[in-house]
Amino acid sequence: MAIVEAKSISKIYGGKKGIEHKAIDHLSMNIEAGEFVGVMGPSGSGKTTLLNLLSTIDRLSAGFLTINGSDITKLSKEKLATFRRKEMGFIFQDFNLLDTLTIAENIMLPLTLDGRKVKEMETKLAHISNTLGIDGILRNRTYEVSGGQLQRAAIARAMIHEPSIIFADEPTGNLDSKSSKQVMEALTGLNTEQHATTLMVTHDPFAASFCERILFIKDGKIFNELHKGDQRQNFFQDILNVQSMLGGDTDDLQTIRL
Amino acid sequence: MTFKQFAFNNVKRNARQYMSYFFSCMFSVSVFFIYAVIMFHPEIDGHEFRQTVQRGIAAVEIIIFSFSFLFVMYSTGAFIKSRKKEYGLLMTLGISKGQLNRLLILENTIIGCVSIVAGLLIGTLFANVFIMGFSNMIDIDGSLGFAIAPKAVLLTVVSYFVMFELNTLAITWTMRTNAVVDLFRGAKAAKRVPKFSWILSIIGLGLVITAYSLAWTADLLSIFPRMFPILLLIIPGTYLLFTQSSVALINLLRRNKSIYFRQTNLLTISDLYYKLKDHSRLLFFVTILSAVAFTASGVLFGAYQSAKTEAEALVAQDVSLLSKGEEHIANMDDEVSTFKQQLEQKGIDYQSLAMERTQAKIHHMDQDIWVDLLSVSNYKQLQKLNGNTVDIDVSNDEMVVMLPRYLTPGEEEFANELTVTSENVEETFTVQTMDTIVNQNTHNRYTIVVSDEMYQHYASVQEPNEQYRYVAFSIHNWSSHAEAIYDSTHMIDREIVTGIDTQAQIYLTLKNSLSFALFFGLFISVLFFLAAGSILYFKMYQDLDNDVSRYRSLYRIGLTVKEMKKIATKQVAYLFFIPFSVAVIHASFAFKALQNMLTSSVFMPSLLLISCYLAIYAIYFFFIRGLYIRKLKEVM
Repeated sequence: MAIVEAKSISKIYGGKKGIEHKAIDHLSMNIEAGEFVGVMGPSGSGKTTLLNLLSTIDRLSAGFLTINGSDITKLSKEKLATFRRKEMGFIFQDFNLLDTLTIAENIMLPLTLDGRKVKEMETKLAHISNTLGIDGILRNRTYEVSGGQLQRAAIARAMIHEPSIIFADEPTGNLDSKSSKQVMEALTGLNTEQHATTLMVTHDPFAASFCERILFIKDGKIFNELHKGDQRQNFFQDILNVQSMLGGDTDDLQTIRL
Repeated sequence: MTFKQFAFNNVKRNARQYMSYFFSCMFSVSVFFIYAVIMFHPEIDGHEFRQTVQRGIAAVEIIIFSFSFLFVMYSTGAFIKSRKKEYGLLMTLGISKGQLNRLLILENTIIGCVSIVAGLLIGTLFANVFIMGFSNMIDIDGSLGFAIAPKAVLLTVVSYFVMFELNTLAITWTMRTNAVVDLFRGAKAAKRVPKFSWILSIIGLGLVITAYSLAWTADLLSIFPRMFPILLLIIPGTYLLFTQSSVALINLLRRNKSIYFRQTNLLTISDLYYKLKDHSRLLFFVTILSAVAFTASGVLFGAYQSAKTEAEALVAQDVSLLSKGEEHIANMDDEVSTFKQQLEQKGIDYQSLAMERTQAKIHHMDQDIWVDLLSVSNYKQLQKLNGNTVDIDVSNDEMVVMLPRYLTPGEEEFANELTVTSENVEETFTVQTMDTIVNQNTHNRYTIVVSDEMYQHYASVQEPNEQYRYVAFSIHNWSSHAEAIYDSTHMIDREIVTGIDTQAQIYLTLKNSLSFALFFGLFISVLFFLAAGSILYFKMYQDLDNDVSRYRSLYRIGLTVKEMKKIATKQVAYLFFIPFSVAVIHASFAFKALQNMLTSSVFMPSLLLISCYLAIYAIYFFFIRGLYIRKLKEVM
């Protein structure tokens, strides 16, 4: 079953007076349930715009988009927010945890907003924090723990309400290599064990090598698609090859970490 | 873009931020200016009250000025702190320390000049109304003309300009710009968990409650020695209440999981936890400012409103004339008819009643006290004149002592039996007391009601100088003729009529002194109040950057705009109305203390006043909430 179905979606910036710029140009893609999909591309290729469109933060200029069976182009802004709250989980580059809350409170936030019972929240919190190995820091504040722990807490927050899809925007962008590895292993672990459908935008080939399938984007269109074979090392090499073929800024090519 | 243009644009494009600051500055400039106009008014010089009035105004000017000084210092400091990041950027781009200072000075000078000019304009606009009100109030024959002395303009411009410049210099001097990195970090340092101590919270609460109980039980005699201790308790008490008890209270709320984790409560409460602590000093300051504003204007306004009732309580009969001794009484009728003629000429309706009283002496509170005796039938007639019907019976062995309005402690406790001694008679009566219905006079302390028979017993053998003749007047609607009545009493020879008491006189004295105080007090109060609102507005604006990024991430994970509005409204409301409510509670205890001293109720006038403040505050609140939500909506 397809969780995300996008049919020739476009996003056009600028308008009547300014110069039009097509950030996303008639792009079509599907994400099946339980898949772990990566989106890569050079700076300005439209990968963040694509993520914003799919995650309903940004409005489509044209095209059709259904998520988990509902046509989200027809929903009002308020309905979209509640839809996101129920159906989606978010992981950001800069964690976006609230520093006025403890780690535990941050993780429970989606359930709290949904008006769930305290008991239920606590059971789910115990389960997810155990899975992600962060039970030791639940009572801490955000500034008291490391970046890798923060990102795993963010993953817990994205997962706790069992959404139909998780969107991750450069989840390893602010992390050192050791923490990156932990975070990516946590994500793949949840993907395989709990069949959490995940879409991740990244330009870190190492992080991307944890995905099952990678979409390369250039100028708002799909440029190439890679599937993971048996070996992650080979997959990683393939990714690097496509990246150099794509060109783009040399900044995007990160030093090899494996 | 020249350097000057850059500075100018900075001010222009931050207009919204500067707005409330600008209005408060402008308001204080115009109030200062209006008082200066009156102080230097060319026609005021000739009047005998010149010195007192000018001294009063000068004191007010000093208060306004020092307050503006503090306010501008705080606001400028807060502003510059909120823009630290911007200065960091300028420094990386290579602005020198000297240039940065020049930029700051230039910006502040622009705002200062604009608010001085605007203040002068607004002041000029309202000065005429003020001059008229002022001359009306202090009874100058014919209003003062509309004239603005150059001295007034000069004083305002120079003092405010110097103030703005001094403040800016102080700020630039204290701003440390050692490391650019520090500036980049700006106000965005990690938030520590608010700490509080239970002991201090309880001490704070205790201090406030003690102060409240002192105010609640104060009366006319004890209020003056208590005033200072009350202030000494309430100010640190309020401070602790905000820095400790508020955090403690929210901490308790956080422990109650079913409340804390109920939907948006989690966000509201946790954010408020930090904001209350961050803003505790500010909230304390705002509370004290508002409490001073409420109390001062409420007490003045309440007392002003009650002048008539107070006059009626202090003086039982509308007008009373009293002569003592046979010789004076013989001449009294002429004086009384002069007075009556005066009233008739002025078209004032009256009823009058003449009666005899006789002097005696009692022993009470370890001393001999002069009293006079009144027969019970005369007493009944007096009550009738005052518009009351009474049924009172005094037998031959009873007397009723009429107690004056203000008593020394223990005075109302009389012995069961007292001996009443005159030159020729001595009798013992059982004692009862009641509130007085005759006017006090300088000759004796109490008027005592005895039976007609007993009165005759004393009066028939009285010495010539023991005789009193008392003429009481009832004047319909006296307060609207107060001045005419008071003027008419001047026609009476005070050698002959030794006791002239009118409600009109008390009323006029009260009204005059209070209207003076009201005139000075009300504007300072409003100034304080506006400043309090403006400080809050500032703080909200400073927090906005942080809040914007918070709400942006919350929106992504599915916070609806409706929920955002709910949370934001609640938070702004708490920050606005917590200090307001505390200030109102503080002020109501002050009103209660005032009430203990007055006869008439100050409830309605103080309620009216607080509602006015509340209305202004509510407008302020909705304005700021609107701005705040609009700003947040932009990112959602």
